[in-house]
Amino acid sequence: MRGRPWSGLAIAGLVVIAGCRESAQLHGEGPPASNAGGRPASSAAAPASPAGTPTAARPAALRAPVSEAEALKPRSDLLPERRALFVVAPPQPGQAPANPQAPQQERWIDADEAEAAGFTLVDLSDDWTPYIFAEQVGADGQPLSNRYRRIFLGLANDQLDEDGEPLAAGSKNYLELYGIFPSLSVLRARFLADEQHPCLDQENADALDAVETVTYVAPADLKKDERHLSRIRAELEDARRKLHAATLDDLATRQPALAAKVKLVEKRAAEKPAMAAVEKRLTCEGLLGTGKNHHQPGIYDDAMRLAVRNFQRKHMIYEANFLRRKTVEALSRSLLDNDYDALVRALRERVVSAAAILEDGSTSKVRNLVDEYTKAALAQMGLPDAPSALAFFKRHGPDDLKRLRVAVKLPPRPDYYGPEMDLSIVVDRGDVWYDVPFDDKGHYKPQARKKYPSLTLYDRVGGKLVALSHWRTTIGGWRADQASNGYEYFRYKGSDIGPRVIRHVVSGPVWIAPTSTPIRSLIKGKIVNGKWMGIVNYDELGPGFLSAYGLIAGYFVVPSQSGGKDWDNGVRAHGSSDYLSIYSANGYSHGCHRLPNHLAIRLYSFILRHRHMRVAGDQPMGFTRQFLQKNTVYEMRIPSRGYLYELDPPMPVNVLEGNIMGDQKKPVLGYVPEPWNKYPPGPPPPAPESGDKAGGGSCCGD
Amino acid sequence: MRIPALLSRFAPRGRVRVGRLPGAAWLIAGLTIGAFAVAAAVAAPDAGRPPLPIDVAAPNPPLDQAPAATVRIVITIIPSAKKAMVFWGKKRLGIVAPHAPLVVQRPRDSGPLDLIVRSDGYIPVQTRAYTFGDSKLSVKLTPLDQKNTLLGFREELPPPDGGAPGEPDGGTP
Repeated sequence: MRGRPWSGLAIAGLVVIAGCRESAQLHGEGPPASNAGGRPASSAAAPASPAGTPTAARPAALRAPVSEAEALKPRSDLLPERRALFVVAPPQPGQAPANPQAPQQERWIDADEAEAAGFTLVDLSDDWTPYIFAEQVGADGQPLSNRYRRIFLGLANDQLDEDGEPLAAGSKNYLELYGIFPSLSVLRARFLADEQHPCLDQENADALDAVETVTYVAPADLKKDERHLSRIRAELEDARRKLHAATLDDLATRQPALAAKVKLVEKRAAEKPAMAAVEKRLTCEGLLGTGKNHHQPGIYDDAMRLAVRNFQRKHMIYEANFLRRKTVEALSRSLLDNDYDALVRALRERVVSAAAILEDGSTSKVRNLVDEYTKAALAQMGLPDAPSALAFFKRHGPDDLKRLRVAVKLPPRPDYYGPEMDLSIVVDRGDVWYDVPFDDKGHYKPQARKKYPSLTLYDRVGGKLVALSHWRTTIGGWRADQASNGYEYFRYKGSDIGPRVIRHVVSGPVWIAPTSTPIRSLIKGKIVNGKWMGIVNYDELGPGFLSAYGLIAGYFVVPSQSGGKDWDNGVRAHGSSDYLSIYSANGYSHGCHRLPNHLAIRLYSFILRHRHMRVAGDQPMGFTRQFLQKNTVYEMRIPSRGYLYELDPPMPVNVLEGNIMGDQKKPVLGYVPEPWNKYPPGPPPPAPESGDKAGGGSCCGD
Repeated sequence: MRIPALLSRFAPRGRVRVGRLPGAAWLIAGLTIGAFAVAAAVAAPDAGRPPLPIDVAAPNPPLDQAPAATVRIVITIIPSAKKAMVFWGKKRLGIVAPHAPLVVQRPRDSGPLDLIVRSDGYIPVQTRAYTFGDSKLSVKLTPLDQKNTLLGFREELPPPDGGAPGEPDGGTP
């Protein structure tokens, strides 16, 4: 694709677009963006009106402007569907109302009138989903249901597991790291429970404050580690005596060469009580000592690892599964303070959705609307801190939270907002290595990168490109691939470069694993109706938050110049649960551009609501494939490809080549044997064709 | 998968109702359904629309038609002349007899069923049935001696010595 003229693509795109426009029959109707920026909903260009949504889809948009005084009249007579909560005198930080039940601080108002008066309705209902999973209706009035919506809601409400089966009583889904934030009812239960059992322990807090991290020692290495520390302690003690130093600190001052060892011993000494504090805290929080794994005090064993992982998931901590800085910091905070942070995170997604915004401060050229609006909403909702949030949840029980919208006035949005924004994406591959990452003996050869890949969303304003968001992403690299002889080889699976478009955006996408996918990754263990068995790994295939495509994907394609089918090399920009592949130095994909699920959701929700599109809905497919693993045939059955939105016109994408590092200046196209593997005699089988010879390679095969 | 969630699967959650049609009834039922299907295809205004794939229920039932509380899953095997047992975890759901499908009823949207289909002389198949709507599940069985036709089959590596004679004879060629 390198060097293909962009103008040709544009012309071809226009041909296809014209065809699509004519064939478009359905339009997205889902929940419209509420007002943002204080403009009345009746203004001619309702800025957050979802692209492709006929004006008739928004009855409120036809209303005449309403005065604020009129909109704020108490209307306690209205049904939950028609009302919104307005907080009259929000408490200030540290001034939680003396009487948590005090109803005079809040009132129900008419939701439509509030919108007409320029308020934004932030939806706090338990059945809220991001736009991509919202209920859509076709032009014929028929619902276009999304298969994954029910599971998404079940997961957010701690009612279903990832397969859509009922969650055991008392079990929790901690899925913020994977893009699914807890519902307000789940958070309410957390607040109320933690008020009763706050796990407050000053001794614990002091022990945790004394350390930044807790060193990981593998259970198998404990004795070796202890011997090593004992030797150092003995060495230091000898030196201290010889120098007549009063303390180890004194020793370190007088003999700087030993300072590092002194620091190590002191750090490890402080970590012991910290580890005990972590154990107490995790036990109190119900994360340790509840599973079948037995925990041995002081040891970072499987039970501890699992508990820490759940803690990180509960508090949305992007860290490896150890007691690192952010994890220890969160462990040292009070439960209610952590709950408040969870509430802020959940509300942030609701505010972003209500205002249909994206700018999150990841680029310095535009305002950080996400932060600004979230703060404004929290202030107007009277939720400046944990006590006020607790009071709010005491006033509003599960019945209220079934359907609850709050009216807030948000600051004006920038002028570049409009119903059809000229959006485009640029992916910069950053530093790219084509060299094989190991030598003949299988020793790993580091491939340092200073510039990591990034994905930027631009809006063209007055002929200039304005970056709205700029996030780290992934590009492809060397991955294991299964050849036709059934053996695994290494293969470079790069990311295509050059101009592309996104025509299709799929929520709850399904990844059709190519036949070269290593079989071992397509099988997982699961207890099925009381029996442990191997099954097809549908977590990986989707739809679901763990899927290879995450919760949403945009498909990069090259439009056909003859008006035929798009050329699709399998590269997507999609959500991912594998956040370490995005943020770690050695993280690569199979060619796709991964984003954390919650950012991918924000990105595509924004795009769908600010460009013309049609909702095609569920895409049934009935795909099956059998494969063999040991003595069992596994049959993959995929009933749907996902829920399709079609951008019309498609959105331009450009993938920049980046800086080619190392000796190899072109990607290696064939299979490379893994030095640690044994293979049948002869050369490797030929690798299947990957469309783009410039480094592209069917990232995910679909 | 969380362990508590897994344990919950031990608890009963809606019974599986299983039925099996005898051979003759299957033939009559098939003819009847076929006749109705032809009539319906002629009468339907969208008869020209391509049919949905076999395993997929229509995702959007008409508004005025409330979906049934349960779904019906019809399990057949290929070759149909064989007999197979179908397991859902530790429970044996029933038998697919020669030319007689196994019919299972489940609550709608109650999550997928991960099944194992076993038949003498064939490799067991792990497959999945969905509960979005009524569906047919046709499972292809592969004879044990045809393993090498399946994706993922690996030829055994030759022995490390490559088949060379075990003992050198000490002579020179």
